[in-house]
Amino acid sequence: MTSTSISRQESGSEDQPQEPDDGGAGPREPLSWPARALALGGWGVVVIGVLGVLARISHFAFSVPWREVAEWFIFSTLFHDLIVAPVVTVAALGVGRLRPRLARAPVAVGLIVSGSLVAVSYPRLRGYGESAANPSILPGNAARDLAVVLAVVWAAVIASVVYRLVKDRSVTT
Amino acid sequence: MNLPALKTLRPTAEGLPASSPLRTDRMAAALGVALGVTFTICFITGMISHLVQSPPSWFLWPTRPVNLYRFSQGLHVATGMATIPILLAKLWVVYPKLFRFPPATGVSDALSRVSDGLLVGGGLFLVFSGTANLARWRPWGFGFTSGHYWTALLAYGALLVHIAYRAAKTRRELRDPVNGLISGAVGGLRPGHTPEPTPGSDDHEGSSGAGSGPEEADGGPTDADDASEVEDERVPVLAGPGDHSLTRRGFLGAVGLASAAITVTTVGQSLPWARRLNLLGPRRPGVGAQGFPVNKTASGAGVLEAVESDAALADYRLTIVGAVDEEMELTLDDLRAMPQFEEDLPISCVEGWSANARWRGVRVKDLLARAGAPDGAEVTVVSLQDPSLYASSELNRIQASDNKTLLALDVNGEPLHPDHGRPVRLIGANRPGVQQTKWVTRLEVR
Repeated sequence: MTSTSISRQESGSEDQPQEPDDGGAGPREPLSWPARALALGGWGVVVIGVLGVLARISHFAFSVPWREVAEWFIFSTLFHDLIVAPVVTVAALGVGRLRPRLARAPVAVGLIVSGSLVAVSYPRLRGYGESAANPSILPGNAARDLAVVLAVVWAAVIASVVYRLVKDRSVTT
Repeated sequence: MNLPALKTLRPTAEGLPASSPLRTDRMAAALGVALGVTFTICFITGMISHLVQSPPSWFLWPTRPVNLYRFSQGLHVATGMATIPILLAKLWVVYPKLFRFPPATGVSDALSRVSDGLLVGGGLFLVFSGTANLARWRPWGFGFTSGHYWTALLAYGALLVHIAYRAAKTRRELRDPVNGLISGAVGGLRPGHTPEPTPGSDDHEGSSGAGSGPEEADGGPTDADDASEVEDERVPVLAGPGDHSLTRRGFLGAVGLASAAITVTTVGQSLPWARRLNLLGPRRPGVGAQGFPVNKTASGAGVLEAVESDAALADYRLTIVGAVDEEMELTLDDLRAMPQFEEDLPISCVEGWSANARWRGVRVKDLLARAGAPDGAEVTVVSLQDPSLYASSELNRIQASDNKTLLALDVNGEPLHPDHGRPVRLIGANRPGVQQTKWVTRLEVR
């Protein structure tokens, strides 16, 4: 998030020397022997997975087409990196500009919870798997059920905002 | 954001500048530990389900506890769904590191990044395919079971590699005596708390310069009250300190709340006592013919004509063949004339839902004894249904001799509905639903 208030905070600390971070830049310290063994074991499991996807070993009646598996790995990653992460970032930016300010945290929590619930509900909501011959698959009204749950979530968000505003007013007066 | 800011938004060896103070290594470490736990639960329970369905010779799945598979698979599905917010949160926190430049600093680093790519792609596809499969949506065009299985091996292997590379740093992040999440310094996440940097620590608490360049140039209001709050609240928040947005503790709490909300609104498809809260689960254990769901209908299995009419049922025969003294052919009347037993057993679907029912029928062990099968016999139970992966199932020697393994004729006090396997279905303790073979026509003994 490119928030103004963060920037002021961080600009105030510019004179502090920063330790370089190795968090995402790969290992800069040698791996211990147990870590090397674990990495080797992990690669061993990966190799079994690769052989399975390539149908070199089989645990099932049907093999999987490796090209399509690879495509779905890439598609899943790109969907997250190009759509989900930017959308979340934009949403967070919006929350960071919300007024009253006391509403920001409850709204952020509400959005995180709601987004997760919508993600889980999406396949049922779209009803791709429905079967006219089998009403026990995807029974009930998915949209109504989700609306009920989201209503509860946002009622809690509103209650939290009101509580914070009232509390803030009582403190300042 | 103005143009000078954009110029400073260039990738470094650490990735893009962290645009939110929530994107700390400690946050990544905390979420990573949670993911390590949930992925491990899903991996173990998933492998159990695989072994139960495709048992190698050394694997003998027991019949007790009756609800073990129900628990294991319910846990698999519930944990997988609860993982979604944690996984998305973790990826969001480390997102800037995706844009590291140069992409790798050496061979070991490159291997680590390849492994991380498998972990991310595999992890995302696992939770997506698992969730979609629950609603019987399979857009990937290949078998779910084998695709999910091989993806799990790729992703979990990559997770082990990731842990090997990150465990030491994760431990440091979480045990940091001042700011760590584990060490009782949760106060470090509290608004208004000003943690001191630890000498020698590579922690970059909210005052990190990682994002200072572009953020500084962001411009915006400079209220005096904000400035005072900045002094007071150095702990990062979603949009910036001092503006009452999420603290890091709040962010973790929100992710936990999201996982809990998913669990509470879906776990009722597995847990009978939580059924009333099952608003978002794709299946309802109480909905379906005779009070519980069906995955494969009689019509879908191509057996409706063979089991629907009285005339068809009069023609029904159960045959017992293979390693027996006397191969047999039994009518429905023959079966009903044998001692009948009642058992309360669940249908425990691999898709996580489960439903209790009271079954009545003949013990398989009695049929085997009548045909003269040897002690320790194993049995293949064959269905009338069209050839498919699930047109037969195996009973190991423990299952075949178990008192609770029935060829059921009735459920909940009525003859079986065609969709539940009329006239005869297999029902046994601690078995996945796909192995409770319906429309049974033959027992092959060996």
